[in-house]
Amino acid sequence: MTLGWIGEALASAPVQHALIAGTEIAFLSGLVGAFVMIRGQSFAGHVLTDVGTTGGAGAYLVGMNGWFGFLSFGVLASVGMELAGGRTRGERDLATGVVLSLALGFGALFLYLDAQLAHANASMAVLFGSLFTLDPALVPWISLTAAACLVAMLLIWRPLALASVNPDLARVRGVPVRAISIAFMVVLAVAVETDALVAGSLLATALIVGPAATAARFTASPLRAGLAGGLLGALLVAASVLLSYDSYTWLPQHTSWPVSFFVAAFTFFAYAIAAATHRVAFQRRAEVELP
Amino acid sequence: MNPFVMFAFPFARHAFLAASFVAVAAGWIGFYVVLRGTAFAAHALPKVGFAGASGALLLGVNSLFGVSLYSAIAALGIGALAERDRRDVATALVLALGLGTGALFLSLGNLYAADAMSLLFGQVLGVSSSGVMETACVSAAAIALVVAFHRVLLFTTVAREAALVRGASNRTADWALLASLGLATSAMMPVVGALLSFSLLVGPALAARHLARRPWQAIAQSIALSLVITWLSLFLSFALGWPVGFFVACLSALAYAAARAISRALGRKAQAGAA
Repeated sequence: MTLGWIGEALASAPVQHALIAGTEIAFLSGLVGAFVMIRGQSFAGHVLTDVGTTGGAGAYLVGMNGWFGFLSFGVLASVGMELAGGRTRGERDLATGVVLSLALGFGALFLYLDAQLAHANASMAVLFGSLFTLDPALVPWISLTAAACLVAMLLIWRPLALASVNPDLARVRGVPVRAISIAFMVVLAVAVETDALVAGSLLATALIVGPAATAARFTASPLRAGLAGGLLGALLVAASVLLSYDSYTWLPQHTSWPVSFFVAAFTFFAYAIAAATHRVAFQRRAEVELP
Repeated sequence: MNPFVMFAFPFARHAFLAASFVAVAAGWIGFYVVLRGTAFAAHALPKVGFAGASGALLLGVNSLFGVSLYSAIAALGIGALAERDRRDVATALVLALGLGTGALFLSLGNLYAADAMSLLFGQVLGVSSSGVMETACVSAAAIALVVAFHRVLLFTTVAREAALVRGASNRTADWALLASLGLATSAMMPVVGALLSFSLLVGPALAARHLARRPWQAIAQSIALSLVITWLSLFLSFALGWPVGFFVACLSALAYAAARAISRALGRKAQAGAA
């Protein structure tokens, strides 16, 4: 088999932009995801994407770029959730749920109004991603934002790790736990909302949780899990972009399969395989250790 | 506008009936969702149901079938993948896979944005008379399931250790709730839509938790609130033409905020009386 179609894909400007923006943000997502795992914030991460839906739909409504809508609503919601936080995880989830359902309600209204005002494609772009129709002028901004978030993560890495694993000890050691948590939530929001461009607001969670959960099966160190998750995420997104480009020729009716489908399928199966491997390896070790 | 004008239209009567069944089921099952704090699963199953419905649209089969099949698979998947304390990760990943295939179905079927919208946000005014029957049966089955497991669900949540000693299994309770949620989802999806089934599941039940003292009292209040919210939303949606889900979400949040305010005011008065 020749790899001609990959060369052809790489020569196309939209694919280049999609690859650059997609892999950068997937790397950041994997890194952030390592802490989402430790802190048990999968639901919070998911809520941010739904709140982003509202922001994205609202932005289209007033004629702004969707990304700014995603970002502004996501960052606001992340800070709000952190400040409102409940005592236990279940309670926190329920309080989060009420905010979420309110945001979804307004999202429904905005998308409905979008459709009424003849931005018919807006709703699909918000919900299912718009990586191939990315505004080229936005790509450098996405790169810059991703880089800024990476630097922020590296700056707060050690206190964040301590505060995530043992908040009481962190407080005793003089770590500003609250401020660190809020900073982390803002970075998480930026990563999630930019993922929404790649995979759509419905699926952005996959890139945060999937690669990180896969990596967490093999290492307990947040740094190693973060780096491995980031690389895995970037790889999956690159493969998804290329396959989505090629899928146009797969079926007679010539519709390209959405990037978000490939991202979701790859992350799920990566996790399933990792879980199975881990189980087998663990069992073998247990057998060896028995006298 | 007189809201009762809407009953002159058969489609509005169907919508009203179907939405009422759904409201009862959501209010009832929501009590257990709130009790056990499984908000994420309650949010994920309807969304996965959306993928099933779009698959059914693609193949041209009954959407109820697609939704039930997909929610059943998702409920099994979450239950099987979830180990101790890792339920949220399993839920997120099953949710993502389900939605991914949903996106694929929509694009393969060349379905228009309008189809996706009606699946996600509900199309209450498109319910047929056979649809009403289906909704009634599925809602009843979902309720029957939680009623059958009522004692196990309560016991394992309230007194986990005691329940284990007495042989009541937390896993059984988990599975029963997931299965019931899957069924309720199939009933709710076509009416309220995937995204906002969740509001109806969580909002009224959370409000009731702040008001009620006993389980059955909470269930009754939750159902009553859920019915009122649904009826008001239908009237408003019919009058203004905006999506039903928007009103359901706003009214649910309002009910929760009001219930919290009331319980706080009552609590303060009770404390003052005791002192």
